Amino acid sequence: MQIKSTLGLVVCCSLLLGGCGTDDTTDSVADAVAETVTDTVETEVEEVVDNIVVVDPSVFALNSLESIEIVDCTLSNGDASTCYSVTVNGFPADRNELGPFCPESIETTADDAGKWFDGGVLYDLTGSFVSNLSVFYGDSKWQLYDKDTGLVNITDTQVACEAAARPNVAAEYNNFCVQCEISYYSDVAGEGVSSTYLIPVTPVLRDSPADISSDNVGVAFNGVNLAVAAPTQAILSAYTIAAFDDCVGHVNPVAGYHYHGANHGDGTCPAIDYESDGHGGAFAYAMDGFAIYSMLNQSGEEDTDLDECRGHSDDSRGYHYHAAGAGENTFIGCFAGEIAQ
Amino acid sequence: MMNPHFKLLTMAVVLLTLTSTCLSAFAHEEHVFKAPWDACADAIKTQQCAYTNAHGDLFKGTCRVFNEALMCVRNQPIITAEKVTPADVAEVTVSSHHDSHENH
Ligand SMILES: [Zn+2]
Ligand SMILES: [Zn+2]
Repeated sequence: MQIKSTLGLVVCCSLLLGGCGTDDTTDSVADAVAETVTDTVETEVEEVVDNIVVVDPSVFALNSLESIEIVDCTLSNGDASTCYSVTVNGFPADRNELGPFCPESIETTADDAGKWFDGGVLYDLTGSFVSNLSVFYGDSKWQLYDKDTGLVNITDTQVACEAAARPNVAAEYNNFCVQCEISYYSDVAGEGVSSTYLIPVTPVLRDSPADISSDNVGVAFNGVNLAVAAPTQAILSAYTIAAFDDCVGHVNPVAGYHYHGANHGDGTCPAIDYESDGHGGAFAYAMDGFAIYSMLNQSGEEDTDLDECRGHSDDSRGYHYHAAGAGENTFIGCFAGEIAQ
Repeated sequence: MMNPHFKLLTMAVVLLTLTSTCLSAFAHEEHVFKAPWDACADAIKTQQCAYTNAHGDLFKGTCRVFNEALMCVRNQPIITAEKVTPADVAEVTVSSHHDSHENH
């Protein structure tokens, strides 16, 4: 990651928080942010000590942040530590709208449709992909569209999307393309579902990696949740497709808008910059405080020395992860570091 | 003591069986969506695994747990279909076979 001036964060966060109210609590949060950032600058965020780079709070997009402060926390090894408590509004800071997700009809092309993944591949969820599902999955029960009109069955109400998105889908919602709107869960346009992440200020490597047993793998710098693997077997067994947009994200009632893969620079999904040395660009922090970078470097190659968590180390970035492919239903394989309890 | 030739033959048959089982599982496209999970169905955590996608590209990695289910997480560059050799598949098969015995 590049070193960034954090002065802007101090000012903007103060303004942002000041706009929410003028009570003492808000002021103290704003002060804490200022203090947090000043401390970070003093400790030089890019220094690599024992393979560890401390978390840089300035990488979070300001318009995704509700607050960021340093708090006491206990790590998974039982040690007392300090963590960033990062509260985001859940809407991607680098976009104005979500979607498209499901194709409207079997004529819909990739420009107006989202994505679906399977067996490691990210597919355009076009009308023709939907009309071919019975062949694709070798099961004639797939019929996601009206044979007469060619219109795709889309969950177009909150009731329908929630009914089709839960584990045991009622038969009436079989053969639906599932699409939940963020407006069902957020009253404010341009905001999503607010979430708070506790991320160790200084990551601590574990002796052996930890399983990803929580729902959160991490949080993107644009404020979006990185979710654990989508249960594609359950989704498909109900003859539903939980459509993603081009960023491999979709909406559910609990997490709001969240990612199941990293797919930058494709369709409506903004690209991220490579590092100045051609290394992939960072786009998120995992819950253990190690940064997650794009899968490929600027030459389109993938590293050959990734460990089972999909992490490795170098002199300038210390230990860090590289995201899996956009269609692989995961970002990383495990947590190499301690997470906050 | 086992005849060395017989031993070699047995190993070859085991290898071939494992490899062909693996390859035939890959060939059933209707089960592609289960591939990353199926690749770890009889495995234990940290065991090596591999699966192919619908294009025949080979994904090699490690079985890791996500919400209590084992899934194959790739940590080696994807081997595209035209470059996949039987040796690539055998290497993973033998390795996981060996590991599973070591850990039980
Ligand atoms: Zn999801
Ligand atoms: Zn790297």
